[in-house]
Amino acid sequence: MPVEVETKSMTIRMLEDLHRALQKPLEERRWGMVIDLRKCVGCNACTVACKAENNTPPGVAYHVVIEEEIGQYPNVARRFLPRPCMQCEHPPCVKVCPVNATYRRPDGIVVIDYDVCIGCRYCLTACPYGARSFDFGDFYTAGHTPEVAAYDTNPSFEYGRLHQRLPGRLNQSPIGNARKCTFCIHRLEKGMLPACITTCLGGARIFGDLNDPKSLAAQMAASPRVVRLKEELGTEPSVYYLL
Amino acid sequence: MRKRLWLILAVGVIALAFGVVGMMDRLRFGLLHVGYGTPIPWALWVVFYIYFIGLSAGAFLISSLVYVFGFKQYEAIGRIAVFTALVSLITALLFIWVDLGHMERFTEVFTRPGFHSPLAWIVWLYTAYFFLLVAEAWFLMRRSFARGARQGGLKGGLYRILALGTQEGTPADEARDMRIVRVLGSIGVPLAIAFHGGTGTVFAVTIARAYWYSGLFPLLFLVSALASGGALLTAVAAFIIPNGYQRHRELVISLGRLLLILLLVEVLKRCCIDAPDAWRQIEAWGKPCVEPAIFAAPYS
Repeated sequence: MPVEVETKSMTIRMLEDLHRALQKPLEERRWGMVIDLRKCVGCNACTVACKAENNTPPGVAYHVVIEEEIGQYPNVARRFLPRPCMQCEHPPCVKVCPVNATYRRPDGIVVIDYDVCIGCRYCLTACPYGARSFDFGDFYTAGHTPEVAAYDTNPSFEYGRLHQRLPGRLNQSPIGNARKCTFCIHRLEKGMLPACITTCLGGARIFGDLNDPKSLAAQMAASPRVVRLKEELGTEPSVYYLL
Repeated sequence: MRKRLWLILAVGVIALAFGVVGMMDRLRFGLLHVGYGTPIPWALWVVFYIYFIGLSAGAFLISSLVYVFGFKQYEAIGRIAVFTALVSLITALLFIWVDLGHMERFTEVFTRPGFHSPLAWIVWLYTAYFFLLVAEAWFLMRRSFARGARQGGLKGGLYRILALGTQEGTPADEARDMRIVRVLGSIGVPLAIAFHGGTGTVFAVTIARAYWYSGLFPLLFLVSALASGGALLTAVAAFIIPNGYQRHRELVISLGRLLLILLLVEVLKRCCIDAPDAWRQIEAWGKPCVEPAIFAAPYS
């Protein structure tokens, strides 16, 4: 009997997984990410794609690639750890918020209500992964060019709403707020994968519904070579790493 | 006496000028110039807030020695201790208020509190404590206000407003005032322990920060508060009250001894917190990166 071989591209499969998940009610989905560290080359395309997608200002990074040099000459190597928000099941950042501005959605994504956040930054100190940033109201070109460049004031569409940051409008959210990775909710709702996923040139990032046993993400997350960061803290991250 | 008053006033005016310039910068540029960032999101203003909140709790608890526990030898600093507690509390809250990214939204802590957060708890407790302090300070000062109200002019008018139209009254009225003060003080002691222990809890629950995540933190905060509040009141008794050291020699020395004990407890606590790591001779996770940030960062 011939064996059926999966010949679809990874991206197509993830898109199919995504569209299947969107058919289900929100609370039955659980978005998760699997990052294959063997395939990561440390190019930071994900970081750049995230910057471009969310228009994050200086000092605000939803996603970074932590680079490390390990070993001693001649046995040295560089190690890369892409770090989005872990979208924890028990997020320490949510518990410390004094005004309930941040919460975990039923589909597992931890979000911030920009209209409520008072900017106390308690969540920044509480996140064990350094995944939250504070928007101090800085612009890349402020003070460097006579006028703030247009790309600096381009709106972002996080949470499916238009957020425009303008110099001198320091009381207008998201300036003065805590900010974080949302797994690109605004893209998911339109049936698109998060920006960091589609851009990954090594195919190291997998995204999908962990509640769907047929999704690529759920299957990869079940691998025996999977780890999560700081599991001992009991945060139960939704981001898995393949060693 | 006059000279000292002018000196204090001059220092105050200069400090106020700096403060006004700083406040204008804060209102115009938000948090752009504070010099901290995402890796260290809490910096100098949080430090000042904690410091002044500690002074307030400490000064109040020392005042309770007089008004709740009946240590008459500290009577001379009782009223000034309550006043210090009130001023320190307002200063602390001002510091943490300007530190917020959205100063205009502070009321949300009252309208939609997240009671799983120690921060929400302590804001509610500070508020209760503020009203309690105002009431206690007023009952302590009421007779003096009423006495001042008998003089004419602007000064007398001000005293009349502060006295809220009450009369000086009889010794029986004074005894009633002091009974009320005692009741307020008795409520205040657990309240002060709760809000300042709560301030320590804000840090104690953050598992992400190796230096803070310790059940000893609330206790450490309370001892530090008593030590700094006590030290401030000792300085006030010795130097700010005219001829204070000559007039209240006994009190200053007694407070000094109390401080010494508190400082020793402080050292003991520090040892308890640091000893396990020192014994392992391995730095705890996250700690090695903290020192350079504290001692070598800009504005550190």
